[in-house]
Amino acid sequence: MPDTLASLESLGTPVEVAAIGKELKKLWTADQTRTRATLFNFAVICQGAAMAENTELLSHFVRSHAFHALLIGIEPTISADEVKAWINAHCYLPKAGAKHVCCEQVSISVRGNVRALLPNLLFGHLDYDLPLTLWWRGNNLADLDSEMWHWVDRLLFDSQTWTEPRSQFTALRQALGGTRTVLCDLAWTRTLRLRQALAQMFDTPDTANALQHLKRVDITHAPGARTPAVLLLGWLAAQLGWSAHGARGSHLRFSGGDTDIACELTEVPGCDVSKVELASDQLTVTATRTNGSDFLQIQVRDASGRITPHVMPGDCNNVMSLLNAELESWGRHRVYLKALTAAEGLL
Amino acid sequence: MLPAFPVSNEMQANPLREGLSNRAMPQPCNVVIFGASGDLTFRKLIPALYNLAADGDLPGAANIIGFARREKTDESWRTELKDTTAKCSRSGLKEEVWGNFSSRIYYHQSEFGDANGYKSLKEKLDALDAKSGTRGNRLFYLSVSPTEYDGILDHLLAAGLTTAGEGSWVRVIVEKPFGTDLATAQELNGIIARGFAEKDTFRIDHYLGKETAQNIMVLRFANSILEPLWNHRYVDHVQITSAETLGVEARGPYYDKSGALRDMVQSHLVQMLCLIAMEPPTSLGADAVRDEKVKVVRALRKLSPEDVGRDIVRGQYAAGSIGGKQVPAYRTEDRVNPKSMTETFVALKMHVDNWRWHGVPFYMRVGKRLAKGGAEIAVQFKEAPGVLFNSAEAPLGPNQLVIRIQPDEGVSLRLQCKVPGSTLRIEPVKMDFHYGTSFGRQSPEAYERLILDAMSGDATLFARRDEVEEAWRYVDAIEHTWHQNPNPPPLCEYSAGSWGPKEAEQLMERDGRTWRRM
Repeated sequence: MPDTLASLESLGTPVEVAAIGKELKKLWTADQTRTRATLFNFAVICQGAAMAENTELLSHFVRSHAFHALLIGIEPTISADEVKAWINAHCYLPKAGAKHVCCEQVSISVRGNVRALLPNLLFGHLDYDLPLTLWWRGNNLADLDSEMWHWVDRLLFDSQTWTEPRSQFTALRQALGGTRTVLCDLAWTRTLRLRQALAQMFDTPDTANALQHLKRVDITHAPGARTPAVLLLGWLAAQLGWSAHGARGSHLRFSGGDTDIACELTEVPGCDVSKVELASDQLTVTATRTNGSDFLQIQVRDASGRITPHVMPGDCNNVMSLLNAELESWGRHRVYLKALTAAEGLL
Repeated sequence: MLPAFPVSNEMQANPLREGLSNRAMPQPCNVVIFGASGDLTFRKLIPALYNLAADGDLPGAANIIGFARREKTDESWRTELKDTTAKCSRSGLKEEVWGNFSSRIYYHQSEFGDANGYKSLKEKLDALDAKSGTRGNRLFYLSVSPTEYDGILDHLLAAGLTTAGEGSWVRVIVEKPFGTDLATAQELNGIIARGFAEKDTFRIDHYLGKETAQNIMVLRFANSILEPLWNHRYVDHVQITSAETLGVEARGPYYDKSGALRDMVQSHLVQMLCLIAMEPPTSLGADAVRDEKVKVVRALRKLSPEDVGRDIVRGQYAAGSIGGKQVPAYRTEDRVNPKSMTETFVALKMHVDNWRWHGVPFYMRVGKRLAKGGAEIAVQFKEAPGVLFNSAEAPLGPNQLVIRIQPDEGVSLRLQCKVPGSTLRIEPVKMDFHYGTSFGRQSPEAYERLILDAMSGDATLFARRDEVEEAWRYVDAIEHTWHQNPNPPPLCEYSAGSWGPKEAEQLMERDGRTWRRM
């Protein structure tokens, strides 16, 4: 249960679980100056104590996405079953004189036998006929009933927070089994801007050739951010057809065709992935980003020594920008799965 | 290029592109803007290029060279541009981006008719190619009066600036108006063709760069429920409206020679009609789409003088009031002929003579100083059969699909619905989609999309020569009747702030229809 009075207030009006639908109707009919907007169900499952923090996040997120939010705080370690609910609306004014655009939030706190109680609480409070994106912010996926996965269109999670990524990925694969749920790993999303920027540097005929002759990859990442760095490496390996030839600590070796590629992962405090350098004999592409900047600085150095600077979008990945980036890319993450397969042994 | 366009061979060659945006970075190039000190450059072009840079879509090695008569230095032009970009850019101005972007902006001072100016321009571009690796790729943006095209094109040709080297490209963007009639359009196109192949010529119509205009094809061809209804069996008529509350502002001399028909109908509105009426193209390639669009213009029913008198209404605004303020009559506007016969309003009833649209009228209205500003396309479906609910005594309104182009871009569908209660009462309800509500992100400005497409060589959203000339052929028949016929139809007067002359209402009433209330 959320602890402080302030956090309870941020969840909105307390309601009976059985009356959530009725109370939501009242919420909308009470004020005709508001427009309700919904394109998808956005369920967030977190620890009970983190409900206020997640409500705050949803209130900002509503500016860029229209959704029906279902925030579920779980406390599986409490023995007695207890369920409480609140309803709320997050609104913003798109322009002066316009109607407020609002998204509703249903918050449910679940204590006790979460595994048994959760599926019905989730299924019963979804907006009908809309896809379901579930953001798992809990600790253990085993807390969830496997029946749930058949309803989830997209599963958001963050493998960077995992302490045992290799075994946890295995558990995730098992839990999802043959479902069609799209995996959306925020650790992978953290590399999106870098991947976009790096890919763009190899679009032109002058640079495209160098891609097949890369000899060195250096990635600098923050302590605790090895997973996105390795996924980035897995992406290069999968897309460029490299095979892994073992790893010694931070040194990794790949081969692609007749070329050996030396890779180095360096841990430096700063952004999750603060620097990537790809080098062939003809071309060196360096992408760097620093805390506080909204942009990546890219330098392309050609064989003549000419340096072309680029500035490209790419902040240091706050949660909001990660969520925005992830939810703007509908569709399946085939490339992620390929990168994960190439990188899993290196995690 | 529309969002779902197939990736080009170039993109497929880059394996890192898989799963990312299907829009490849254009090749590095030099963009030369003729008319660099003009309003369009300051308010639209440079902010658009800046936003492309901020979004990471502009090649790092792209340079922008302003060509104009006034004396300026690189530095003074950059300073001027910074101020206006900060005001006009949709994303504001970030120093980090501006620093890098502005370091690649240059000013080239020359008269448009001075051959030496083009010689030195070539030297400058060659030097930039060597410095930046732009490989001789050039995009010339003619943001000048069409009367300057001839001279500029001749000098570009003479200086060898229209010839692309091996593996490079040279393209030109020209601004509307593309001529003032068919003859001048053909002449203009001939001039441009002296220096540029059609595939390298980009005639910009900013309406086509608007998000909703691009969405018309998606709406029609990505949804299976609409296309079966999109024909004469189910559609009663189509209304296309473009209304402005503004008068001619500072454009009096231009507008007085042009008028609403030439200024808006020939270009923007005919393009909208094409997107609504065209057959599904065989692919999303530029020529496949434009082939279908030009078929629509060719199928527009030819108008005799009698047809023009009956089916077309022209009007001119008299004094009136808008937003609680008195506004003057057109003839008393700044630098407008006090006896002007130029139309500021036109309403048309058109027919697309093909199998799909047989017997379906397309009504257009466009005007200045109207009651409300906005642009939309309304597809009105036929009435439900007159049994059960839709009786002759209490007819229900028809279903309408409305595509709002501006402002408040979106789509709405009007349906009939039972009012709750023990008696049977039916009222229309509106299912409404607003871009702004459903998608929080800002749409790029039309110029951003169009400039980027031109850099990438994608001409889908640009008018092709035959489209432009066919549209002029249609419009010329009307102009001819208005201005060269011994008994021309009258120029009807309407009060500023109204919805146009009463004759426009009568045009619809005659067919048992009414204009939509916007």
